[in-house]
Amino acid sequence: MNLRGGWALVRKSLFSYMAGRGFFWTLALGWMMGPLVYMFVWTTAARQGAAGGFAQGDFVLYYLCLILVNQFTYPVSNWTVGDIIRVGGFSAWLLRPLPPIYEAIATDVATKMVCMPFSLAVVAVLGLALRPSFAFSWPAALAFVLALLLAQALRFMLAYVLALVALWSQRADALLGLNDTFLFLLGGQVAPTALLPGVLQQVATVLPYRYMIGFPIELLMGRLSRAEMVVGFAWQVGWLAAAVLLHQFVWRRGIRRYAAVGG
Amino acid sequence: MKPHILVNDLCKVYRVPEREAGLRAAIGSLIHRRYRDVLAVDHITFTVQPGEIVGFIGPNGAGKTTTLKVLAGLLYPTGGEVRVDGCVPAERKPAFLRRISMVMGNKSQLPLENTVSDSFYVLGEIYRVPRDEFHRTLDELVDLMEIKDLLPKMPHDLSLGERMKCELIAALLHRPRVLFLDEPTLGLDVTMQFRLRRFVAEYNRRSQATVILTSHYMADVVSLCPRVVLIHQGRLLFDGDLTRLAEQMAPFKLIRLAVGNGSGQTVQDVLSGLAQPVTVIEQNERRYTLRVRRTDASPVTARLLNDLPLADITVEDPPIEAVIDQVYREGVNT
Amino acid sequence: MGYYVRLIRLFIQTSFQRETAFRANFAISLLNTALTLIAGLAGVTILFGQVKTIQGWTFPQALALVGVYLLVGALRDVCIGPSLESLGGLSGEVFGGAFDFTLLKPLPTQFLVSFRSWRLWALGDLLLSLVVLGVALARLGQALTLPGLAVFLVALLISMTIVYAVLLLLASCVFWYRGVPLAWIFDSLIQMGRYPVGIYPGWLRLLLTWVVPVGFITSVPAQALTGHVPALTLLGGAALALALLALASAFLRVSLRRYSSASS
Repeated sequence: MNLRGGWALVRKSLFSYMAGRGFFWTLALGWMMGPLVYMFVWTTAARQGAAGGFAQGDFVLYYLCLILVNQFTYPVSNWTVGDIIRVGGFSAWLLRPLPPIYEAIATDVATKMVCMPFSLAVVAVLGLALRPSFAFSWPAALAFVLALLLAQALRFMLAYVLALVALWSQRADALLGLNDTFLFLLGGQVAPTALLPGVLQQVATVLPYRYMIGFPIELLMGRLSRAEMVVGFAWQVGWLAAAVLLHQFVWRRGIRRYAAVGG
Repeated sequence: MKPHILVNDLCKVYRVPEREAGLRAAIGSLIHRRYRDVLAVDHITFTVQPGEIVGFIGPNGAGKTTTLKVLAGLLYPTGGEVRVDGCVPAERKPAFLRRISMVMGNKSQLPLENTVSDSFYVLGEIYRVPRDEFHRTLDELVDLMEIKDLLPKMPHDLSLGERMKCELIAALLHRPRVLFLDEPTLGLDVTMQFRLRRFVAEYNRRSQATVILTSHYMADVVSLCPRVVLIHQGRLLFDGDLTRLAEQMAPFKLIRLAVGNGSGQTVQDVLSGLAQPVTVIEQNERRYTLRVRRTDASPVTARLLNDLPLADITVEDPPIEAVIDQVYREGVNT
Repeated sequence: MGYYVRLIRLFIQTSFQRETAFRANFAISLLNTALTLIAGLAGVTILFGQVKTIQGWTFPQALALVGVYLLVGALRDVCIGPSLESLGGLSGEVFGGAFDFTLLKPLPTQFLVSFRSWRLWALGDLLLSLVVLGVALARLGQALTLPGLAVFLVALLISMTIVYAVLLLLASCVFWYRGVPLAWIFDSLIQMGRYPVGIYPGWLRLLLTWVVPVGFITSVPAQALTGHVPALTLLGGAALALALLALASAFLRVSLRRYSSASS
């Protein structure tokens, strides 16, 4: 675990990103748009009364949390890794004495370090303006932090693995697009997973997407029972393990193909 | 004759952001950006006659490319007056743009995924070249550059040299009266550089188009440009014949000799016996490189031939790179 | 002028040749179309699974709104989107330095950067959006009358003019701040037009109708199709569209002047 190398990479990315902070804040703003729209949609829907067990205040809280959780877990490597492979810069990563995943993690961390202050500021302002009802409890908060870290790892890993497909196929973009759509539908963005109709809700419980965004938020809001929480964590850890295994497979295959073609 | 290109007291100033290294400065730059004014072009004046080929030389960042871009209308001058083919370039009138063309060494205008001939056709339409004239010009240029096989291919699949050939032709399809070449031979292999130079010379001869060329390769300048303009730190230091520059800056010649077998005096003895001052620049066993004043070159050579058993002797002008390097460092002293 | 029409035809041809250079593009485009459709419809369907109306809009009406959203997106993707996008972004012209070639062409820069790239696959998206609109109308039990169609087309024209003006404004920002993610910003903004603009609180609603008129872009044509649009709204919209167009063109001119004053 080359922490020094890793931190140097983060610093490098951080400085260049801070120079282009306008770009990143614009990005962060863009990421907020979806959740904001849905916040307004659902609070309007819940005007006459709670929709699916969520009152207006609940929706506001849910989506404000979503903005932050989405920002925290957003897989920047979605874009960066695929691009680097395409323009041929991946070879430079391979030559370093650090596995390329360090570089991906470093850009991920650096991006979030630049964007997070902005997002926090915006959410703080919105929170003060809209005043969602929030009951804080330590167990919920701790569970939230744990689930959040796992969610970040899971989302990063899956996106990184899919981006690596670019090592041998030009269709990696399509996979990422598919992944994004599933995340949008089933991850708790278009609606909290509890509000998804019938079979979609069952699918959402099984697939990893809910555990990337919706699950930590549901925990924080205290909407899950003990049993549901445990099952949720089990799914989260399970999917993370699966993603790591998938990474090993994709990496080995990808590198062989990449080296064969000559990059 | 009315000058084709007229540059009078041209100035160009850039504002460049600057920042020191380190975390503190990085955060500081989030709040307040600092700028510096850079004088890229400093009161440059020159004129170019129709049909001339002029080379702009100078170290990196001297202001050559900036001047070129001002002439092409891509940059607005901060001060001074510029006229190309009777027009003010900065106005970018379509009639003006149809009469000029620019080729940039490391950038290409041909889309990567359209065939070369398709791209040529589109350019012909954009520049409103009449159909038959277009075909005539295209055939002539394709022949001259020998790229017939490349026409159905895409730049994506061509080598750098082949791509550059196509770029050059693309720039000439509309028969511009002024051609700007910004480092056109950058990154090309020796054969390709040679080909390109020959092509430009031939094109200039046939069409009498005015050519302005910037290049770091002295070979480009030496073989193509009877006239050079030397720009250094934004100022025009020299405008004229390149050989005259060499004569002015470095009024000496180099004599290289290889001493053969045979008795007689040593080289040192002969040299010390000369009336003219001679400096030994290099000595490698039996090979010597001597420096003498231009005027002394003949008598010294005669004496050496007479007094020494020479296996080989050559008399050369100093390498132009050395002259230019000296100018960059010391400036021109007229 | 015939010259410009001929050039547009050439640009379409060139873009088509470029697109067909990679066979994979077709399959990927198809996939993206499908995904856009699913994402667009899913939101509305899930929403109306929980409530009966939103701000007075019924499901078919909201569906029509989604249809217009998809239609506007498709029309944008056919031409002005890809053309203007090639200016900015990290792989764009300005960042890479190839913009000089665009400036050197004897064509008005605005014309060139607005119409040079066409993405014909987007016509598939267009078709699908029309299907969605058809379904919405069918659900409403409304037939499309000729005057109704005319009003719809006028509203659509106004919307597309606004879209073009906004895209041009955003694209011109690349001369001030390189690497501006143009498509990203626009897509994020127009997200807000997916749902009836009435869901937003008062001040935001006004902003979204008259300043950054995303609400206008989608809602007005949808209303023209499913209900009624007062003539005053159309007139106001037309005035807004023309004002934005003038503003955008002026901003481009100013931005170009800035580019030519600074280093490239």
